[in-house]
Amino acid sequence: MILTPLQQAATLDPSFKDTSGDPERKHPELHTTGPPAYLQSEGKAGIQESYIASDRDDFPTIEEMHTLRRVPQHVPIRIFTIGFVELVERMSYYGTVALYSNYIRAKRPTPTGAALDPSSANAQPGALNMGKQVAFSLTTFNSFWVYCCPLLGAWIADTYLGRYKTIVYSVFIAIVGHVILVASSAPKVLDKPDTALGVFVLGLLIMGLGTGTFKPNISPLIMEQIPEEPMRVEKRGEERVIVDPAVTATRVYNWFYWFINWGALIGQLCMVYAERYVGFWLAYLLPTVAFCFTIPVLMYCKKSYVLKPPSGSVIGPAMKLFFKALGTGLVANPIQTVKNWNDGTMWNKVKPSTLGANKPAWYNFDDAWVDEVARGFSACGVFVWVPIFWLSYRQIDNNLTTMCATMSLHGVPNDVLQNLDPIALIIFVPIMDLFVYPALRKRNINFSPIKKITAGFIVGALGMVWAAVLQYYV
Amino acid sequence: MNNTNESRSYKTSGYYDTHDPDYRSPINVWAVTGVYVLIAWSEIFASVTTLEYAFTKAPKNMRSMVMSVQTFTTAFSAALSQAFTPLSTDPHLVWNYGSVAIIAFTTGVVFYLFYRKADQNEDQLNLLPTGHVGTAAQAEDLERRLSISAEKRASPVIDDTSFEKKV
Repeated sequence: MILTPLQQAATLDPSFKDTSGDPERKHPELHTTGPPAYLQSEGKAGIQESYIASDRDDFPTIEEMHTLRRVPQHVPIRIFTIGFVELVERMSYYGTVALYSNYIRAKRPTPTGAALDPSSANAQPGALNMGKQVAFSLTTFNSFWVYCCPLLGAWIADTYLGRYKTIVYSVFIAIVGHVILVASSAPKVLDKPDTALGVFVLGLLIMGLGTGTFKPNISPLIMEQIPEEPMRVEKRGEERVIVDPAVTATRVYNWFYWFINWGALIGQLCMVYAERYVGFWLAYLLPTVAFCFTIPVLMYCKKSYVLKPPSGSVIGPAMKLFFKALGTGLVANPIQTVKNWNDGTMWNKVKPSTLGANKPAWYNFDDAWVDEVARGFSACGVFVWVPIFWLSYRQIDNNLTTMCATMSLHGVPNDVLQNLDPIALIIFVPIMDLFVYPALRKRNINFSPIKKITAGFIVGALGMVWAAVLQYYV
Repeated sequence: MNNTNESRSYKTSGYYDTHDPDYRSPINVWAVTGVYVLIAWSEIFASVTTLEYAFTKAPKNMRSMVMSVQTFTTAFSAALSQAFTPLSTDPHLVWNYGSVAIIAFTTGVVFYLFYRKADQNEDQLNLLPTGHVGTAAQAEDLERRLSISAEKRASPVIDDTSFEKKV
């Protein structure tokens, strides 16, 4: 039996399959034929030109890119089953984390930890009575832990398991963590605070591991459900428009964020009430039960999802390539070095086609991949700036809550005040996606990601100016 | 003295003037909503966009990895906000918000200047073709198989793999 080159390629390694994300070939239009591109191109840049300018006649010209209105691709509603899974996961996470501080810090007023007089404004549930310091260290450690585990989850997903499997496993891990937290809040366990603390820390670690490995995989998975295609010109009625996948990404992630904030709102409201009126066991149990609902959804929808296979070890070569590229710019003078890194030629110097026969033995990729890695690293550079943005966001966590406490409440419940951020997002995300962004695109205003992030910095700063002025007058 | 009185007449007086824990400013608490609305908007602009940016700019076989770097940098903001703790007691709070506002604004401007060029290449970056990775051994093996199958097609002879199966 003689296999076609493509079939042979596919038997070797999943990474040789074309990257259309449809291993079962349910969508034939997504697939390329012929041997893998990296052999065809022999590492030369030629293939890129043919890909971009493309043999398609619906590919927009430079002029059309500047003049035609951009519209998103069709977004199928079924991809929001993934949004639902994220909603429930966030609800469980935020609902649980909202309890940590009271649970560790405050004295136990009743056997279950519920407040003595739950309906009063000063109701104070508590359990372990370990004080402010322990509570602060553990909650800080937790936020550090859940932001580090994503690196592990991403490495596992990209290299070995793929996103879907990693998500399913991490859901199971998180449920185990939640169950341990429920155990740590049983009244019998709370009788011995030291034991309870030990069980609690174990639960916190395992739940954080589950949540952390879940996090970096769910957001690419939702966007991967939309067919990947380069932008194209299409006729909508009389008007010619560009169908742009980047606009689709803006739409999908806006609604994804909407789901996240529903989760945060429901979680924080419900669990705080459960803790105050019934006790910690219920407040930890509800997220656990809710989380279990994600499993049937994931299982049932699996057949309708587009799943990309993992691509084997790519992180190692990417890092090696990065350092090799940095190495080409390295000279004794540090200013010159930085200049070399920023003159735009750094990555071209390490392309397989540039190095030719001199390329190292570990070079097992084509020029196109070098370009992709360069783009990836420059995106990571953008993320380095983002913590400064979060600085203004974090002010609303505690300082602003304290400010609210010194103002006239006029019957506004405290819980509404503490959840104003998710409430505002739930209101504004649809307005932005359905009205503001389309209006901007209609006027041909290109509100690109870099401009949007800049706007985020400025609007955040304005929010802080408002807070400062208000603080002055309060 | 006169000065203080004057400033009190347009300020609603502060908690740190009275030191009364039950002090309530007459300003309605809904005035705070403005801060929350602006922060929510800034999240739609910055936070949602980082998700979008991570997806569209990552190499197609490293999407989770780039997404996790995006999450990881967020962890640093927790450490960074610790640096502002000394400012979060009452007389300094105005400057706590004020300095965060100045830092965020300046960073926003510098950020834009720094990435203006990359911004103009946005479409080109999104249109980059998919790269390919495989181990050297796999590449050699693949090339060998490709050449064998090409030879076979050129001269059809007895298929020795089927012979092996029978044995």
